[in-house]
Amino acid sequence: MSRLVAVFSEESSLLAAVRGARAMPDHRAAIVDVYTPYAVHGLDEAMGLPGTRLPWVTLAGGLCGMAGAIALQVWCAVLDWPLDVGGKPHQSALAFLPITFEATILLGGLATAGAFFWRSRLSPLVEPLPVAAGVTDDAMALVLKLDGAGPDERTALHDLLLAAGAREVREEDR
Amino acid sequence: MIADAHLLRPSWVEGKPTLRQITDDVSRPLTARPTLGWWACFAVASLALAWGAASATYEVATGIGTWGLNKTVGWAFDITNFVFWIGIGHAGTLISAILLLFRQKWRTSISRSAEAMTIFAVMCAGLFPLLHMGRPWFGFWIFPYPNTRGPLWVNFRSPLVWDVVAISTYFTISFVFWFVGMIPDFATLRDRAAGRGDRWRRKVFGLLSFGWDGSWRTWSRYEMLSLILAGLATPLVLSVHSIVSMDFATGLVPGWHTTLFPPYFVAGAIFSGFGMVLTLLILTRKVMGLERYITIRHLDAMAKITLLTGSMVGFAYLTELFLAWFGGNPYERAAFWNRATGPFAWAYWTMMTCNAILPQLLWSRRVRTSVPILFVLSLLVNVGMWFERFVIIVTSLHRDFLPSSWWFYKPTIIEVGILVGSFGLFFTCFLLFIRALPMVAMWEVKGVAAAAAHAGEAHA
Repeated sequence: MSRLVAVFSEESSLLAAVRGARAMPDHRAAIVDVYTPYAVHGLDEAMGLPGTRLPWVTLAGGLCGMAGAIALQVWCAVLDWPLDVGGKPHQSALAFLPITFEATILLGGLATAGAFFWRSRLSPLVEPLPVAAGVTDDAMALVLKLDGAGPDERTALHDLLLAAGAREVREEDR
Repeated sequence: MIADAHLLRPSWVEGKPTLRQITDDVSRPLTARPTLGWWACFAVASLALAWGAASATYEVATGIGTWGLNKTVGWAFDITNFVFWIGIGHAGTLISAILLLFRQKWRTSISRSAEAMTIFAVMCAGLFPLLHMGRPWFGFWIFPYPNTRGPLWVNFRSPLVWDVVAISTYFTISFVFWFVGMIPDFATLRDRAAGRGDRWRRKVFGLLSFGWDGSWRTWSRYEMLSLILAGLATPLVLSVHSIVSMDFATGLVPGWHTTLFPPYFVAGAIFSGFGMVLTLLILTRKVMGLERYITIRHLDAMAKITLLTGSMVGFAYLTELFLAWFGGNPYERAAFWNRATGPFAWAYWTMMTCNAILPQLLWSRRVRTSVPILFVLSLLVNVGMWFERFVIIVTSLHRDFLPSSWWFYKPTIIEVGILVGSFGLFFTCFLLFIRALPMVAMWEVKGVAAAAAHAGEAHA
């Protein structure tokens, strides 16, 4: 894949370049990704990424935790071996609430974190390929796909990125 | 006009550092040689830890008869320490989760160390119920697992079982939050180590950074993950100390049996936690040279929360006293009269002075921005909140309904040793943390500093 990498030192230049690239007429210059050392405010809107579905994972995990905790407590304390504790009813639903709540939070949180790692392909075994020096320090990089772009379009893109304030623009194949 | 508005809300980072400078300032202490001050603190902390370990070993080998407990006072030092440490843990989650939801930017410089403090404090807290079991190797009995005794299940109606679940959940979620928050910084340290040719750090931080490359698609999900974890941790932190308070409130002992306990305990927990955060940060910002990131304005903001929660605690003390009198229950009235004038009155008035009266000095801006006064006040808050738990537990138990069973309580050297040891564990962990991991969230501070720089440009 042939791609264009532009490196910036200012988030305002980066945002301008992202908006400019997306406004290109035939939209051939699709944005592969942007690499930044911190969460740049407004980049989501500028890139027009679809929203993440992580909250649904939280909901699913939370519901599993809730159902699991209710099932465990009811089965243990009501069905399997009902014990009379101070004359309280076996099915004392209100007293089962705290553990149900905690299990909801626990599974909801763990499921979300797990889904995040899985979806973002992050694990201790992943060896990162830094797109440009310093993207985890003080540089920001915009990567555009160049496949199928003609010479005119390449020049236009170069100009656009330099005009936005890129300190370095290079083409690479990988 | 707009420029004035900018002056009114100055940046939370002093001196407008560049992004590279932020990386350097936070990472430098991790590769520099530790100072003499650090070694001195570490020596004291590990000595305290060793004393605690020796005391705990003796206690486990001999039995909890080595403690000063008796048939009347069955809970004392140990449970006081447990509630004290759990309370300390609450400020970390408040800063990282609740202040995140409220978009309080000042949290960015202090959240990492406060979260670390939470993890270590919950570890210390967990030790005490384990030691109180007497036979900690049977600690797994508190979990509902299939067993050969029936199977006989744990009593899910007991607040003590709720407590186990709440605290394990709290520890797990806090740990995930803390670790996930460090991943972008691990990547920064990994690449910095690679640049310096430091292969050993490159390897360790490479494993810890999970291959983070700063991709925006990951950042975008990452922000959502932080928001969700904050949203989950907020009700969690409120639930944990509410459940701890129910360990007492569901009992019938005068002085415990009150519906006031959950909010009163939560406010007290956050109060004591902020006391500890202030103590630690006033010291570490100096020692680690991070005054630019943890500024007087941060201390001022934390002092305001201390004042708020301290006033809530003071209000709860007065409410308790009022209800003891107004409720017309003679046992309740006797319990509070005994607290204020009985053999433990000195503990009660220490608590009142440190928690309800002295923090009122924080109304003054001069006090909030004076580092030495703030430091002393934060220490007194720690002392006061330890005594609050001691007063609640011991004064209620030592004289309950039946005067013939009234007794006194005195801690033994073993109990004192375990308390000292828990401080040793806490400070040893914290000292290792500030040497090994980035104690300021670099990526978060970069975001705040960049936003402030742009606001400045736009308004100039």
